[in-house]
Amino acid sequence: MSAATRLFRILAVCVLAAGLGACASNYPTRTLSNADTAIDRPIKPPSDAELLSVRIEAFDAGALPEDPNLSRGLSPEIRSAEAYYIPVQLKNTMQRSGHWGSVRVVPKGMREGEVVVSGQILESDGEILKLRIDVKDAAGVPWFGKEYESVIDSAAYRKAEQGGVDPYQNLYNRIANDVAAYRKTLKPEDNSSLRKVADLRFGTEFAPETYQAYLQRQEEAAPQGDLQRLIAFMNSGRLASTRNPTYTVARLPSEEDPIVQRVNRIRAREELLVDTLDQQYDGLARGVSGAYTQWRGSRLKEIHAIRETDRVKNEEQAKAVAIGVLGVLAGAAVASQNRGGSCYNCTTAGVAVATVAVAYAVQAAMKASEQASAEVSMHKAALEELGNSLASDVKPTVVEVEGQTVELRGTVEEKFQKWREVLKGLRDNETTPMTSTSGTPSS
Amino acid sequence: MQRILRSVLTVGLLAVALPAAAQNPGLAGAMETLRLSIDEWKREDAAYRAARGAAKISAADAQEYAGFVASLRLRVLEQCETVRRLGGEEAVRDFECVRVGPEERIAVIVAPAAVQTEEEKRAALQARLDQLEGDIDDSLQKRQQDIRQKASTVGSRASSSGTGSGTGAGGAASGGGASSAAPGSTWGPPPPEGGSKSPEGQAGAAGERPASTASTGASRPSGSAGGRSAQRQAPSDGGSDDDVVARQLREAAEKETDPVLKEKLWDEYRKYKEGKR
Repeated sequence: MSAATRLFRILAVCVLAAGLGACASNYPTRTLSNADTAIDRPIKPPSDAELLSVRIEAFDAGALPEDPNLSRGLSPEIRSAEAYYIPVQLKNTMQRSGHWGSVRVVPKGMREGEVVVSGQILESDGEILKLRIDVKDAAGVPWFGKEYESVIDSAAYRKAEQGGVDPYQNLYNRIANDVAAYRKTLKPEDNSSLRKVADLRFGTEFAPETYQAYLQRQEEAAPQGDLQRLIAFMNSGRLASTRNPTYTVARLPSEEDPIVQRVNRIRAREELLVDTLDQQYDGLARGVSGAYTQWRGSRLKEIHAIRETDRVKNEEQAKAVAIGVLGVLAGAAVASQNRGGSCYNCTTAGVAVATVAVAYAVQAAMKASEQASAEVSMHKAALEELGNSLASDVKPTVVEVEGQTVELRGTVEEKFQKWREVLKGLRDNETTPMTSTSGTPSS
Repeated sequence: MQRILRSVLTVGLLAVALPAAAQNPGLAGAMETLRLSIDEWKREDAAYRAARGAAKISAADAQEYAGFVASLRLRVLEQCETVRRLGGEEAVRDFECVRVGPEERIAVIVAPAAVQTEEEKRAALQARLDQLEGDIDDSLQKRQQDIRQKASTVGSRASSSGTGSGTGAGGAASGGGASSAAPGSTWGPPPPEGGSKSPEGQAGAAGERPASTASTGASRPSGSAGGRSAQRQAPSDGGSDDDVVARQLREAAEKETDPVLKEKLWDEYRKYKEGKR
């Protein structure tokens, strides 16, 4: 191999090395979710007996992405706010669909509803919202578990602002439609049974001695019917069998039973507690809504700006590589005229052409890379700043509401506990044969 | 008025006796003081009720007399605790003092002469349940009031400041804008859900229930949550931090049927709790 050939190979490697950075991208482009999903509404208004109540647990905030680029500007504080904000949006969607009775957002673990929706935030960064949703009923039967994902662009934010809706409204509509679709598979008697099971399970919490006889508990169960099993499979990709206990009504208590009447009274208080907590979460969602929506839109613009910078850099580097390659090829062509030593100057000229071209290519590629790097750094700093600003904005609200929730639940549940004990005393008193006097009072 | 003067004299003597009992941890002295206090309270309570029943005293005298009876009641309750501290539960067994269990106290007043019947016990437990329900209602109503107040405060702040300036969405220099610019950051009704294909006019056409009342309005038993607290002159703190004495005073006030004495018992309750703070 001649010295000139070796030199051309080295120059070619230099050109390729200069163009290597063109492939790197900070934020890979995602496929947009363009399909609009309208909310499904009942053709005929359901009767009161058909309207099941729904409790949506505050969502699991999930983990932030491991990729430092994807997690830039995200924070646990923002996720904590989203864990309340997103369920409130879903609640509003389900409430207005007309398929349900009361729909409430409740703290995690407060599952005494007729239908319970749980969720986890898998991804949320202003462009993508990915959730895991699980739905089950008071009888312990899982309806379905499914992941939902929506990728939107700046146009979706503009459209949402004009329409006064959340940019991810389509995703909430899809979830609400799926839950409603499952409910439609229930028979009317299933609705009624679910309500009774929910009441009896609540009663068991407060007067187990009285209520246990009314509920039958099975340790293992699958969805009730074949159709429901099929829907669960289609939705989740797996058969929704579970080892969680399920409940059916063994028999019904008498409404005249004083214990039942008392439990109904405390049930009303528990619903009032749920209403109050739900109002707190409503307030939180509305309180953070403006800043949060603006953050999502601004963050998306920054991500788009980084992608655009990456694209321009890649184009510049591709041009530089093309010029370099062409220069090397041209130089090689000129040098090839020196076959048999007839044109010694041709080799020198060819090497010179290739060297100049490669030098230009390397310089152009480096310049494009430096410019892009500076711009990307600026946008990344903006992402951090946006995230820090929102985090400091929402954190006090979230901390305040969580504190108030703990305090209120603590106060009321302490009273519930005392109520249980006094109720037990009353039950003992009422089931004890009547005597005229008692020497020692119960303590 | 002679009766009141005589009672004031008795209370004065008791007040002198109390510090002696405190200095001397002799249980017998404290029990004797308690016995005198109970006798005094019962006598004056009966006299007050007789005078009220016979309409023998003016409204002003009734106020004064009721205040005196209520203060005697508080004194009895406090002396019960003094005796309990000195001699434990056993020491108060023969007095009209509340029994305090290890985890829960149940306000069953044991009359020394006539032991409670099952009916009376049941009534006392039912009263306790009612009281707990009232306490829960109070706590929840107070919280809901706070929420409404905050909503109106934020609402008025939002309406006075407009809908946000929306500065600088995007760009490195716009980082701080996210917190201040808040389009739609009001506490108004939640946004509609339908997107462009779901006009708001259709929302709630079928089966929609108001966001914050659907569950309670339909299923709550009549006259339960929210009704009781408005009927009494009870403080709004819910009694969550009541000690044994305050708890009994609260119960006495709640059960009292004479409006003047009821009001005075609540006054004593408030004064006692303020004194404790």
